[in-house]
Amino acid sequence: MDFFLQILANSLVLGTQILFLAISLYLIKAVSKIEHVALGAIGTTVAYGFYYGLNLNQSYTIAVIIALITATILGLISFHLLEKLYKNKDILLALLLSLAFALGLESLVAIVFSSQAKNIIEGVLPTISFGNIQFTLPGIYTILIGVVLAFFTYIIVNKTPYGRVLRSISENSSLVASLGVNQVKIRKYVYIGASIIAGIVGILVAMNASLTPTLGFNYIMIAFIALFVGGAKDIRGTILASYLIILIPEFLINYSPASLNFTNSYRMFFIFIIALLILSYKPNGIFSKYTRNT
Amino acid sequence: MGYLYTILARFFASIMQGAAGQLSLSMAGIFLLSLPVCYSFAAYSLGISYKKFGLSMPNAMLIAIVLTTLLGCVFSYLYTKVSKDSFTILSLGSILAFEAFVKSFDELTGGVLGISGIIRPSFIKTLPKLIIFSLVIMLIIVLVQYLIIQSPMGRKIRALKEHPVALESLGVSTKSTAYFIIISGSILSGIAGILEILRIQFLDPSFGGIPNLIILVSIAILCVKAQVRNLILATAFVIFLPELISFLKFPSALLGHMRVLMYTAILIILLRNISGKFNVQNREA
Repeated sequence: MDFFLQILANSLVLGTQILFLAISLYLIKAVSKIEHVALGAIGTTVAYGFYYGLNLNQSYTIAVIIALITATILGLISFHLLEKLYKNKDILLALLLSLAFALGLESLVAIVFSSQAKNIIEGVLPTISFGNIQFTLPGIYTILIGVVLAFFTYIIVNKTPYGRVLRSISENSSLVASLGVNQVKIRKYVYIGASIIAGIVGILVAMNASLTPTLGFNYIMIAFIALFVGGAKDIRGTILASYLIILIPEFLINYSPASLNFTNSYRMFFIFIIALLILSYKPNGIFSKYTRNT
Repeated sequence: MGYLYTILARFFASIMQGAAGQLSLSMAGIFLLSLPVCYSFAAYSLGISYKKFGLSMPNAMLIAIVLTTLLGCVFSYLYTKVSKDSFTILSLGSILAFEAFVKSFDELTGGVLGISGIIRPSFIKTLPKLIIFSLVIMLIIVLVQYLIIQSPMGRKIRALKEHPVALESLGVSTKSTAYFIIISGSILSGIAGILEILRIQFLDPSFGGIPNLIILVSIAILCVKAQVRNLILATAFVIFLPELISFLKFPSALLGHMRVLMYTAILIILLRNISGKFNVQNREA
C-alpha cells in the first residue's frame, strides 16, 4: 500500500509540473491559437537565470528578480516573433518558429552555461514525510502552487469577464476588436504571464532534479499531449489529462512483470501510445463535444 | 578529401529528405514532423536486421524499407484520424517517443550504446563508391520528384493545401492523396537514413532526432515553390552555409551548438519572411 501511495505522490508532483506548462499552453492557445513549444525552453532559461542570480549573490531575492526579468524578456520576444504569424493565420508555421526559437534558446544556454548539469539545491534534497510517504520540499511547493494556479485559472477563464475576453479573442477576434478590446495588449500580457508560469515550473523542476539545457523539451511535449488529450478548449480536460498521462505510465512501469523490464526511460514512449489511443478514439480530446462541420 | 565526401554524402541524403519535406510540408501543407523518426527507424531496422538477426546487407536494406513503409502507413492512418494540430504535435512527440524506445529496449537496439560495426555491402565498400551510389539514388529520386510535380498527382498534392474542398468536389480522394504523400515521404526519409548509416557505420539514439528535423524543415520552407531546382538550391544553402563556421576558431565543444543556433536563426528568418505567402500560391489565371 505504501508503495502504491508513493507512486501516487510522485505522479502528483510530476503531474502538477505538467499542469503548470499545460495551463501556459492553454492560455496562449486561447488568445492566439498558437502551440508555443518554446515555453519549455523558456522555463529552462528562466531556471538558469535563477541559478545565475543565486550563484551571484547567494540571495533568493536577487535570483527571483533575475528570473522574473528573464521571463518577461523572453515572453516579449516570443510575442514579437509570433504576432506576425498570428495575424497572417499561419498557425502551424508559428509552431515551427516556436520550435526553432526553443532549440536556439537551448543552444544559447548550452554555449553560455555549458551542457553540464547544474544543481540549484546542493546535496540531499530536504524531504517531508506523511506517514511512510515522502515528498521533497520542492515537490510540496509544486503541488501547493499548482493547485492554487489550476483553481484560479479555472475560475478566471470560465467565470470572469476577463476569461470570456480571453476565449473570445481566438474565436472571433474581429468582433472583440469592434467592442474596443485591445487584443495586442492582452496577447502580450498573456505571453509574459505564460513565460512566468513556465519559469516557475522550470525553477521547481530544476530544484527537484538537475538543470540541463534540454530539461524543458520533454516536459513541454508531455504538456502538449496533455492539452490535446484533455481537449484544447476546456481547462478541466487539461487538468485531468495532465495527471492521467503521468499516472498510467507510472503504474505500467512500476507494476509490470519484471521480465518486461520496463524502466523510467519508457515513460515518454508510453505517454505517446496513450495519447495515440485516446486521440484516435476522441480526436478533439476527452472533454470535447461532438460538432458537425457545416 | 574525406571531409568533402562527408559533406557530399550529407548533401545527397538531405536532398532525399528535403524531397520528402517538399512533398509533405511545402506542397501538401501536411506537417509531417515525424520524418526524422522514419529516418532513424530505417537505420535501426537495417542495423538490427544485419547485426542481431544476421541477414545479409541487401536483405537488411529491403527489410528496412518495407518496415519504414509500414511505419508510413501508421502515420497516414493517424493523419486521417486526428485533427491537424494533434497530428502535428503527435508527429513531433513521436521523435521523443522513438528516442525513448531505442534507449530503453536495449536487448534489441543496444540502448544508449547503440549498434556498431555495420559493414557496407561489397559493391559500395569504399567511401567514394558509396558517394557515387548515393549520387545515383539521389538523381533517381530527384527525377521521380520532378515527374510527380509535373504530373496530375503533383497538382492534386498542391490542391490538397490550397483548396481541399475543391479537390474533393472533383472526385479526388484527399485521404488517398494524403496517404500517398505520407508513405512516399516516409520511404524517402528511410532511404536517406539507410545511406547515412552505411556511411557512418555506427548507430546510436542521437541519430536523426530534432537536429535532423530542423534541417528538413529549413529545406522544405526554403523550397516552398514546387520546383526541383528550388529543392537542390535550398539543400545546398542549408547544408553548405553552416560549414563556414568550421573555419572560425571556435572550441570544438561549442561547434555543435553554434551549428544548431545558426540553423534555428535561418529557420526563424525564413518563417517570418514566408508568413502570409505559405498557403496560397500566386498563379496566372
